[in-house]
Amino acid sequence: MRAEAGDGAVFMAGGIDIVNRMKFGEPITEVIYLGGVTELCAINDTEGGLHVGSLVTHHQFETCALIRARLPVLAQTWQDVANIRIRCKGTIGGNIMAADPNYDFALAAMAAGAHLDFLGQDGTARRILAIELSGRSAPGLLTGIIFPSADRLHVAFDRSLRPAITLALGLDCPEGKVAGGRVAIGCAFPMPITARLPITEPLLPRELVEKTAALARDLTVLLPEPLTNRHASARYRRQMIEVLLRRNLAALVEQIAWLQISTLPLPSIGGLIA
Amino acid sequence: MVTDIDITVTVNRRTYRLNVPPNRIVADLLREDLQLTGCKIGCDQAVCGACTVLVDGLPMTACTTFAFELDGTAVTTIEGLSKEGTLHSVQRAFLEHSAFQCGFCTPGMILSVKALLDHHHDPDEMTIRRWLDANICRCTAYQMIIEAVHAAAKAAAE
Repeated sequence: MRAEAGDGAVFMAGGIDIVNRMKFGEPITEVIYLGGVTELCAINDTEGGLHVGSLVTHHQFETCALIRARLPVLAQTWQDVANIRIRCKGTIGGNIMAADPNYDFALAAMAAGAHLDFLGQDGTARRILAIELSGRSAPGLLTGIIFPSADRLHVAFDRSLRPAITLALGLDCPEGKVAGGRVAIGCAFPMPITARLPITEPLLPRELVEKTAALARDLTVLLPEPLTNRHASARYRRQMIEVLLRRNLAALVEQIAWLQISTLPLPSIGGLIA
Repeated sequence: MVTDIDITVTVNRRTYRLNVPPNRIVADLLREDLQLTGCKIGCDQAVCGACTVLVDGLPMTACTTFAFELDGTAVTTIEGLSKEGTLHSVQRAFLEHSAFQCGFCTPGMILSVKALLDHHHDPDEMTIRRWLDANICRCTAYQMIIEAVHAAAKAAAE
């Protein structure tokens, strides 16, 4: 249907973004409404991770018990995304595919190392990493987002400097060590951007704590020139990206270290008294 | 080929069968076709909350929703909230707490509060602020609005 409709056709999920784009003069000639496709509205636990259908609304996401249990930081953050009306209607798939630097879900997917499932025009399914997505050019219809297993993923989401900067951070911690991570940045560039943290070998949380300032500095230097607009200058944005990254990295690493301590078996008190 | 779309929608407990252009916006459908002018257009970008209506009990922005999306749904506007001339408890609470001045934001505000109280019977102040943080009142009556929400919740519980 998408192929027959031509260049001016778009898929429409929640539609808020599309209606606004049409009001601002974007030449959208046909809308392919996905509202009736209930198969894309579910959140399921699968072997490959947590599968979130692309038509899941923000409100569904924030109130879903499975999301609250597995991705509590995102569930908590999503209570403050946009407003209740937009959260009830807007979908996470539409949020990603709008490729708007001020929208949040692409950042969450990128930082978490999530995969995106697409259905191509020839009917073939294709799975890509969220960090590989570039703008609105996608290999078909986005059908779902797959978050990796939550027992090895730790996420932070900082919206405190919106609308100048939004920052999401994801750390991979298999077997108690931080093996890698990603930062995703919104509001500061023409599109959401992401970068891998320069962690060369798995580190214990206490080892990483000492390196957070250097990691934040090294990564920020490599970023492209941020935007200068009415919200902030490029210089301010670059400086604050480093600050937010350092703070969130330090807080997340300390949280991981604390979780490891709190799950250690307690020593025998009886033995100590004896 | 763009053709008009047949929809069936229940608005304020009355069922309509309508033929709508695909680019018809709900706010225009309500205000111009059904003469339900309680749905106000403020920002026209889903931000200010003046156009809020309830679709299947959830708050929606009528200014950024296509009319064809309403097919098979039940819509409540401010005109449908009172029953047989008796104000809804939220309307009464707004009146008793002087929770409005010019009144332009009030229909959207009241419908948002109705949805809030349907989901949270006894909301704390943080929850109230979270649900109403994008219903903008230019007359700055926010404190009275929050007091009205507490009063409406209390009235509903009694």
